[in-house]
Amino acid sequence: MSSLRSLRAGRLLALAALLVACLAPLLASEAPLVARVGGRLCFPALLSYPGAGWAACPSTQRIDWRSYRVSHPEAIRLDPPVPFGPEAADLQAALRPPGRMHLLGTDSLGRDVLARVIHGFPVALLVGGLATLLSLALGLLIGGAAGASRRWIDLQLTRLMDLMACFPTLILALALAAAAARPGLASLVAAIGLTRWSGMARYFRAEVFRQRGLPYIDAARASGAGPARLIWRHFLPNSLAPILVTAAFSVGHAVLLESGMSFLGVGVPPGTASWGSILAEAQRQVVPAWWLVLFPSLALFLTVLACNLLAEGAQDAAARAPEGPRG
Amino acid sequence: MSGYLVRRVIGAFPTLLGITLLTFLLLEILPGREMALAHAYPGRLPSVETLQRLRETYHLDEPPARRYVQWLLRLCRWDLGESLLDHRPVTESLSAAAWKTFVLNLASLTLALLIALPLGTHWAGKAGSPGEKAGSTLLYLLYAFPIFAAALLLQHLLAVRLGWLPLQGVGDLPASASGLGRCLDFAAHLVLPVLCLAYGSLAYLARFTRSSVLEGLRSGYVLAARARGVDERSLLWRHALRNALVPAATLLGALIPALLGGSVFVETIFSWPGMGRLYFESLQNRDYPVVLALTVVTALLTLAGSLLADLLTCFADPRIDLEARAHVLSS
Repeated sequence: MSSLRSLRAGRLLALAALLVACLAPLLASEAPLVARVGGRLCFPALLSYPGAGWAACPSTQRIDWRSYRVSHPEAIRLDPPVPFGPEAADLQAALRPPGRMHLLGTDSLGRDVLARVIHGFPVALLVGGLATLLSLALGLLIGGAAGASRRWIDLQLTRLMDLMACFPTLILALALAAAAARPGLASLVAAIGLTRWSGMARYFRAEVFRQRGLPYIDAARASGAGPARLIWRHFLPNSLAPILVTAAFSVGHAVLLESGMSFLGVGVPPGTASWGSILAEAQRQVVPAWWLVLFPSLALFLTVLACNLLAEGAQDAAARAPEGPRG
Repeated sequence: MSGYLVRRVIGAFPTLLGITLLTFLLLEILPGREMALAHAYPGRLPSVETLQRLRETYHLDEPPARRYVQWLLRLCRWDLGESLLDHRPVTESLSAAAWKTFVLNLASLTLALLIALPLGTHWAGKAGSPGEKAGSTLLYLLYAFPIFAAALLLQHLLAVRLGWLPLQGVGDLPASASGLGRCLDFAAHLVLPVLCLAYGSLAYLARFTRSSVLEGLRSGYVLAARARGVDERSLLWRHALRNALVPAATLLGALIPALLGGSVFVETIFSWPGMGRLYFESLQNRDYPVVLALTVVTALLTLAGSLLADLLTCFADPRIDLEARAHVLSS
């Protein structure tokens, strides 16, 4: 596959995933997009976003849209494309195969699979993105410190990196998630981010070593730049392209890890829609339900593929670009 | 080379010590240990006295540093304590599980290598042809496919729908069945887990082989061989492929942690009684002597894997002077 094509395909897929993640509350929700309650137009689906209090319907209490829909059909003006929420259970419609009512079927509690897959996007991208940011920050900090400091400190930090690389990521992340005081998205991000920084640290350290003898670093040092400034203004900008490539790969891995941990039941809190938890649900069924396996797997696959394509395309593009220090 | 290896093994000792320390610290912050202890002695809600007694039995009232040293000394004697759940010695359940995981991983790695090396080389020779393009793209897509999803799909398709292969476990036949029958039964149970564990590394290795064989084909010694009149077939399979073996050897070491991590999923899904499943179950049950032992053993295996990869690299290319390389890397 040519690099330009893969870059373009990756960008397209990643943009689509981001779009679905941002618009998830509008794409799949119990609440209608537009409703007319008490003679006024309101936008209840928007309420999932912060700061959207103005969109609420004039009512003394929260409206249960499922019953309201039946009692006041004339109030609903515009429904979301998928008129089900990710957590709305309906036991009478449990384990339906894909059909007209539920396009991708339902799970054992009668929750709409399409709605859950759509709401899995923000969870996956948020956890994957934040965990990557955390491991990136840790890796650059430790790798930069190792590269720029004295031999003895460098040796100790390198040992720490070697040590971290000895633990399979999943094993360490599972233990960390189990050790978390309060299970939730934050501890999931921490568990994934804290286990994945050693590769980045090692890479950045090598990069600092490579650049150390180059003239522009000598020039910067001669003009009085300290180690922190050297790292931040010179080493980092000059290794940005490969670091971003690694980060893009890393997002894909983190998304995989999040789903995997949710699949094992130590990821997202119970009830939260995640691709991994839908797959776990599939495994618990006595009567096999293929739609519970196929659709979340596809979403996961496409997201990871987008990250890989983006990273590889960018890598090839960076390799072709004329190289030169920009410090 | 032997001098380098000796130094490398000695150099691994601080890492080894670090592995035990980090694991011990991790398990120190794992909550619910007393409850797990109490759970190990069935009865009603444990009283304060019972908990105190349990703490004393397991030396939890002593300072962590002292417990660490004691645990380390016992580890040196390969005494890993006993499980809180069934009171069996950890070494016993560990060796039973390790054997199962070893079989699984060895089979899948062999399968991946046996397919990836010839396939990658073949494609390097046919670079740019439609078949090669389609195949590479397919492998690329496979590489992004999550292992647990693939395991569930394959299990659904081959075991539930078609009924060709057993659903899970290691064997259905009773111990009284004939040796050959039990072997075949074991092999049938092995197929699905091995396939799931192998396809990821297969995609990775094949792509890698293809690109390094391509690189070899462009190099000077292949040009020289071609000028001498060596035919294209042996150029590809004898000259370029051998060149590609060196980086592939280093890759094998890097694959070990990924394989062990993947074992957790595959063993859980297919109820394969190996280390991955044992680890996950012990973590859930807070059976902390087992978790401690498994984490340390996994990390040690990874360390051993990277040492082995170095050794393989020397073997594949005797010109490589690891001492010189280590010197360059560390200075």
